[in-house]
Amino acid sequence: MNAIEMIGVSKSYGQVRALQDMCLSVPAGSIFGLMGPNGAGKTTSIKLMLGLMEPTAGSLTVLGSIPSGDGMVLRRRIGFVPEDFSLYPNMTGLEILEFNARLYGCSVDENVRRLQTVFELPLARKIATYSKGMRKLLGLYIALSTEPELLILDEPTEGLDPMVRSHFLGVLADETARRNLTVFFSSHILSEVEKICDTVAFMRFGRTVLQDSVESIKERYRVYTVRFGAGHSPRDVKNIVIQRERALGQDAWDIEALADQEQARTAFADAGGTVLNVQSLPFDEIFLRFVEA
Amino acid sequence: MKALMWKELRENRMKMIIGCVLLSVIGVAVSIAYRFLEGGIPGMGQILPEYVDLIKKLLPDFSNVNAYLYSQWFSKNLQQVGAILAVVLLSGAVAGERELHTAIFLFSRPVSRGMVLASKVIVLAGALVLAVLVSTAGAVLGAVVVGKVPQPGFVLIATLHSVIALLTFASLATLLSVLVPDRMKAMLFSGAIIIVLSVAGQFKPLRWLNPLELFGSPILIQRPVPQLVPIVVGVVLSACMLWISYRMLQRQEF
Repeated sequence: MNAIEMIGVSKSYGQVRALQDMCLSVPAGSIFGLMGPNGAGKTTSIKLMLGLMEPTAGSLTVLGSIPSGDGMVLRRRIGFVPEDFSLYPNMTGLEILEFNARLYGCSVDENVRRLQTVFELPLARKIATYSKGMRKLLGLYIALSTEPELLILDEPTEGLDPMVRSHFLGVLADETARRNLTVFFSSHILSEVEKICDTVAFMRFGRTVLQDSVESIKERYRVYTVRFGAGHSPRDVKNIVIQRERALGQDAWDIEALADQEQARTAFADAGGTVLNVQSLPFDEIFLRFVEA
Repeated sequence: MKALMWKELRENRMKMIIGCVLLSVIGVAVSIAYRFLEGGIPGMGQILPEYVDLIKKLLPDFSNVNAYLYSQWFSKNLQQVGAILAVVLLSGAVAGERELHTAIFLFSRPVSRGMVLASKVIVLAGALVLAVLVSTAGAVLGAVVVGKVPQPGFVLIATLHSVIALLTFASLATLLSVLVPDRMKAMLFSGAIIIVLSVAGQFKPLRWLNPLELFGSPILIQRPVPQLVPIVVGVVLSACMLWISYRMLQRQEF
């Protein structure tokens, strides 16, 4: 079962099309990373999922509900940490936790006390005195404190130093494993997505250009050095989608494709080519191939 | 809803306390000043007789405390300071959340936008009404201290008119707060609209535009009976502006 399902979703701001026919499936219980450059449409996708905006076209369901219709009920089941995370500076950490708990109709109870041993935040202090890292951790604390089924994090580690980032991701991974949560994580920091996500989607210009598991992408994306016989070229290759090609000489090419190796070799052979060499690429290079294409 | 109202109280408590104390101090001071003005201005005897008559004509009739309270409190200090307080309190209602980037946090919680707006209006407008009541009580107390007891009926009706007029200003500030994503701009626009309409309303053909008419007329001194037209206009205008604020907030994307 999918926790989030987007089919052909579009969203326009006047003349600007933020999302165009976007499709996405987030399996329940997974840690899902949505990756894309700035302006790709990640935050817009999240706002649609929370019912803060309505899609211009397409179908979107989150935890089986339609956010634009059941937003208030649905948000009770979601924990959310926004990208531009600001809280009331004159409240203390404990006051904001209590305020949030009351909005969710629950009390600051055992769960919050248990989380305090994990987060170790100075809850008696005003939020104005918190560092950026502490505020982000407090955001995650708030989101987890209401026992959500789905956790949505919009670039949560943006601007954090490596130590705080590592602590944040550690807490996130531990809590996710403990609760069997679905986590939807948007980021453009590739290393952290690669580290904690099961499945990722790459976005470009408001569209999903790839969705697969991290392992599968790393396993299947290869650079093949192929020599083609006379009269043949990469244009003759069928059954696999070539992501990038670069001529090395008169009859040899470097061809990049996301496919099973056997399938790729067969496709090249059918097109009159012989595979001379196969190389893998780091995950961040693969991401760049898709978003720069 | 209770949690939202608690948050509003907590976030705005300093503004509310300062506004209430300031207005109350002015109320008491205005009444106590009556002691010094009653019976004329000291040194009036030294003015040439022909000018004394002219000055007396220009000055309000301070021979009765109701007239004094109407001219110096209800239609002057309360009107002006109360209008500023209404604009300061309400223009930050939604614009403040946007400016502080807390809107996305608030609206992504399981609460409706209507509840958020209602909690803000109830708490902030409630604080405004409380400030009017406390400060008017202060003005009456001050009058009693100097030995003059205003007519209770007059005080009640003039207070009712003032509350309705200030709630109308507060509704205008709420609407601007929803439309303009910046507290200071919302405040300036609200103030500018009230000032422009008040100035325009000084000209006879445009008198109906004057929002200060909502405070009632000097007839209240003689006949302390609620004046239907300003009350109905004030209530209808407030309801319309709050309804538009709600509709606009529903349509906005955060």
